[in-house]
Amino acid sequence: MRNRTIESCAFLLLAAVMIIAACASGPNWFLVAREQQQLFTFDLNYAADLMWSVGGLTSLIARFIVQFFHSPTIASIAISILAFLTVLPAWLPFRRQDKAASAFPLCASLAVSVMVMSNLLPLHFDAVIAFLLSALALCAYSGISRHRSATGIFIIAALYLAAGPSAFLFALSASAYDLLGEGGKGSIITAVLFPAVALMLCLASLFFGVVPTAATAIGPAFYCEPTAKLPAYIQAAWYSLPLVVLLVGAIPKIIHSKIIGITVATIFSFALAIALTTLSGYGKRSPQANICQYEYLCGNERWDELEKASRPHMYQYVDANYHNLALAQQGKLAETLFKYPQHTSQSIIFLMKSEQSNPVAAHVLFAMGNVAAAQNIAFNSMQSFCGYCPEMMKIVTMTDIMRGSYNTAEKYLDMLEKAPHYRAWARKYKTFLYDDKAVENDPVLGNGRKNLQCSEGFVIDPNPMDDLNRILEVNQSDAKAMEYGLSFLLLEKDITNVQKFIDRHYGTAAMPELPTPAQEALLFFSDYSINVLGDDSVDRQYCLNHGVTQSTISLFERFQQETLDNSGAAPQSFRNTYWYYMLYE
Amino acid sequence: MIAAVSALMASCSSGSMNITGSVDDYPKIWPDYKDAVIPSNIAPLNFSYSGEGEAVLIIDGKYRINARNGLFKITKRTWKELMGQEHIEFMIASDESGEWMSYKPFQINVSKDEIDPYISYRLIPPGYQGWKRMGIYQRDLTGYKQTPIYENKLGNENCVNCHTPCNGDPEKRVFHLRADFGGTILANDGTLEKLNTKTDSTISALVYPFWHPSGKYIAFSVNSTRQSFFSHDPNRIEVFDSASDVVVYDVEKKELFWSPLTKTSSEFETFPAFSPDGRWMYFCSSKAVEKMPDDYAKAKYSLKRIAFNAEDCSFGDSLETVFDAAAMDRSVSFPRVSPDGRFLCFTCHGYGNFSIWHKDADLWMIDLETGEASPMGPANSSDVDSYHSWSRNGRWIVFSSRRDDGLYTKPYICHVDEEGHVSKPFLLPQKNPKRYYHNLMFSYNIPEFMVGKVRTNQARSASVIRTETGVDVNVRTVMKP
Repeated sequence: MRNRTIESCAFLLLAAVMIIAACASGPNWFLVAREQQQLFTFDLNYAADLMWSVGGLTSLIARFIVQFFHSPTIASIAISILAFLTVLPAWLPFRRQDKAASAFPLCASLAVSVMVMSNLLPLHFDAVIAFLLSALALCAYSGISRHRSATGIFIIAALYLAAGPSAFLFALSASAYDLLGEGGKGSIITAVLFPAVALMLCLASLFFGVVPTAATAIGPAFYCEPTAKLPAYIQAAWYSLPLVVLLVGAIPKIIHSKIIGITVATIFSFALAIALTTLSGYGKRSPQANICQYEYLCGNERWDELEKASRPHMYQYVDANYHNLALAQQGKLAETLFKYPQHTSQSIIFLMKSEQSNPVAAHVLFAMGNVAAAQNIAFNSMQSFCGYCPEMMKIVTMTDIMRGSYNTAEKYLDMLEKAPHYRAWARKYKTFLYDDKAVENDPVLGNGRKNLQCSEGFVIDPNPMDDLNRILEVNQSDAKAMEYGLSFLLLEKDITNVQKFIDRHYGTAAMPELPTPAQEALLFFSDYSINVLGDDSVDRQYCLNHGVTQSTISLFERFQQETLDNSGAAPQSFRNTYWYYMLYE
Repeated sequence: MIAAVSALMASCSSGSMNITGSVDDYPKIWPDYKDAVIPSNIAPLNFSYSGEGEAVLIIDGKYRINARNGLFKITKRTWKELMGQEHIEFMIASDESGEWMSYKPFQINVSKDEIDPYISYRLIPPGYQGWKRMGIYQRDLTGYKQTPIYENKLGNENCVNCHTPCNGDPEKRVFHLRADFGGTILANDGTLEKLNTKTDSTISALVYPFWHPSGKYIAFSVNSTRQSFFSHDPNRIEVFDSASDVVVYDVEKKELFWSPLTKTSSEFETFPAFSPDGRWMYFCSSKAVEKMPDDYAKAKYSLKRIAFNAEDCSFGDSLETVFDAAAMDRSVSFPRVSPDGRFLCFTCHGYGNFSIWHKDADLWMIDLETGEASPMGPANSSDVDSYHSWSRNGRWIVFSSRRDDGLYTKPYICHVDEEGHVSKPFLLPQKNPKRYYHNLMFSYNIPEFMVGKVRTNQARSASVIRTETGVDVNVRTVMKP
């Protein structure tokens, strides 16, 4: 009775610690990002298609759970619960063997394995569920007293179909459990038989073309993206289940003192946990985690938070793209451009050579009003690990509605409607289908449709500025396109075209006032064309007529004076100006 | 008519149901199989009623099928019985606010010309540059079963394309792989071989293939291809060549050879195809366009042919223009001669060669006896109708069409009689076509008829693809003109 109370308290404590730690450590952005790697739909055909494949049940469970990870809190709590649910069934078999105390710390270390596996994006969440199912299978198997061999083989076969190589993991664990338990002669047979059967089944999947390699057939690579290299620590985390079973069984056989045994088990478990967390860098903030966070903030249109989160990392193009997107969405990109470190026009949009997947470029191009280019990149980015990236599918859908390709949009909307988190969005956009008037009256869709009336040309050829010019020719009310266009030219240091741009668009609905950096650029151009080119067509009066304020003129005069005084050295007090960026960056 | 149907209703129905009126219109069904000509060995053509309310289908006044969620599912047994007839009459009645109304009956015509039992195709997202999952599959046309020939999950999600059998032979095939484990896989009577086909003398690795009927040679194009995305053109994408040639691969000697007339810098030559007697090689050719992509619309491909002697691998000394599309300000692609050698089917469009992205692309046919060319009227739609393949008896053509939603390509099959008359095509049948095609996020690409099933285990293909470095293809040193 007393033991039970201690055990219950220990597990309650463990569960509490795990959940509190998960909540206190803040959002796990890798978990949140998983939600964008799939589109779980409440659809019998979707479920049936998954279930037909080896490991299908695991995929179905994993995807069902991951759909809720759109909430960082739910994601953190869910992974803690899953980790706890793995620890408990792994420990219960040893309770039956009276090894509860020494098993507890070792089994608890399995929680770390779960955490570590859940944190590697190219490893599908299926691995976590498969790991849990192995532990559950071990628990079920340990409770069986009759026909153990036959039952074990049945479990292996069922587990293989439901979870793939998890069957091999269970076979190894069950063998270790039997071998180091009190199983007698029979245990030696099962120790050989179980892994052999599991191995046979796994290799059958290789023979039938389910998997490409033996490593994929047997181990955690089965759950990994084919193009990704599986790190060694994932192998360690995966095989920690049979290792823990082996250690729990072996320690009492080697160390007869219970206290020392528990101490050794605790040391082992700490060593395992520390090794896994260190090797995986668990909990460390990484650039990849930043991107996951930005995507989340972007998807939820939390522009202010996105601006703050990406600000410290603007030295990276992708981070700068998100930051500038946040500024553009808040309507302050051009005005505040040089308050932040910018590095060429790639800070606006960084286009990779291969456009296989580039969600930020899709977001930026969509914000720019470049419907076709956004559709192109969003479509490529839509193909995600376990299905379809919902945020990218939303962009593809909206661009199809803008184009009037209602049939295709309907296809995506029907899919999104079957996903609870996207249902409301899908239903809202379904109202636009086959209703041109409604599309034209919607601020976003209507704006996009207007932009599609631009003169024909290939997009992003050679850069997005040509597209922006074409868009603004037909839609001068697109404020974001205007901000992006001006900012792009400013960052390109293309003062001639900045002047032309201002000349063409100043005073229109999207540019009633001239943003400060543009005023600075215009003054710079004026000064340059008068003094260097001898052309006074853009003089002070022109500048004043095109939105340059007296205070900017005074500032420019101060800048010129300070530069002269410093013999051309960079005047630090002007760091946030276009002039500084133009001459010293 | 109504009385007869009502009587059938009463005799078959589990509940009371009387047709009390009629609608002077055809019912809305999908796929639209009305008046289609189908082969007697095709799988049951299930279809859905798109109207509201309950519906029943009466076939030939004999069989009654209740719609389930709009779907009329015809059993194999019923279908087999129906396939003995020349015409089958379908009549749909639906419950319109408590009153059963019958629609105008329609027919499906059954041809005695059997269709090849299999087609192969690639399933690929209709994307622009990106993909993730894709694969080459085969489909039993007498049933609904699809099996993979090769899926790219076995090759690090590489690109797999241009699967082409020789005379529909499933054991004599070729396909390409790009990205990881790149190369060309040649399946030849039980052997699988990986080839590295880029040479110093050709502008690219081998691209669009077509087998010589002897199985000893394969004509290929080599293309320097790029693609760009339009800012709003409904075609969305333009795929264009900045150079291309046509060469022939000798399967036994593993050598490439060509005619100087099919490998020129002044012309873009592409999409080769042999005549069924093997004595002619057809291909598409356009005057080279210098400024690509700016002048992409200036590429106008005409249909040409050159004599080919399989005995000594020699070519004729002149080209013959079979269809001067350029003179009509049009462009052609994918020439395919019917197995009896009488007709040549091709895709005709405004410009360029990548017709799958051209909404004006239509199927055309030339009668090679008379030289007359005309659009294949009933087969075409207002959207893309492109890549096509003949069945071995020359009575069926399978082709790719974007007629349904403008983006996701689906395989349609049409009948062509001895005189070249084309019938209305039908969509590749599925158990539940509406649901299947609506949920499908892939396009059918390069459908090709096959006379049997590919038996090669895809694991074996994967093993060759992943482990073999590949045989380097050589260029023949002495070429006969």
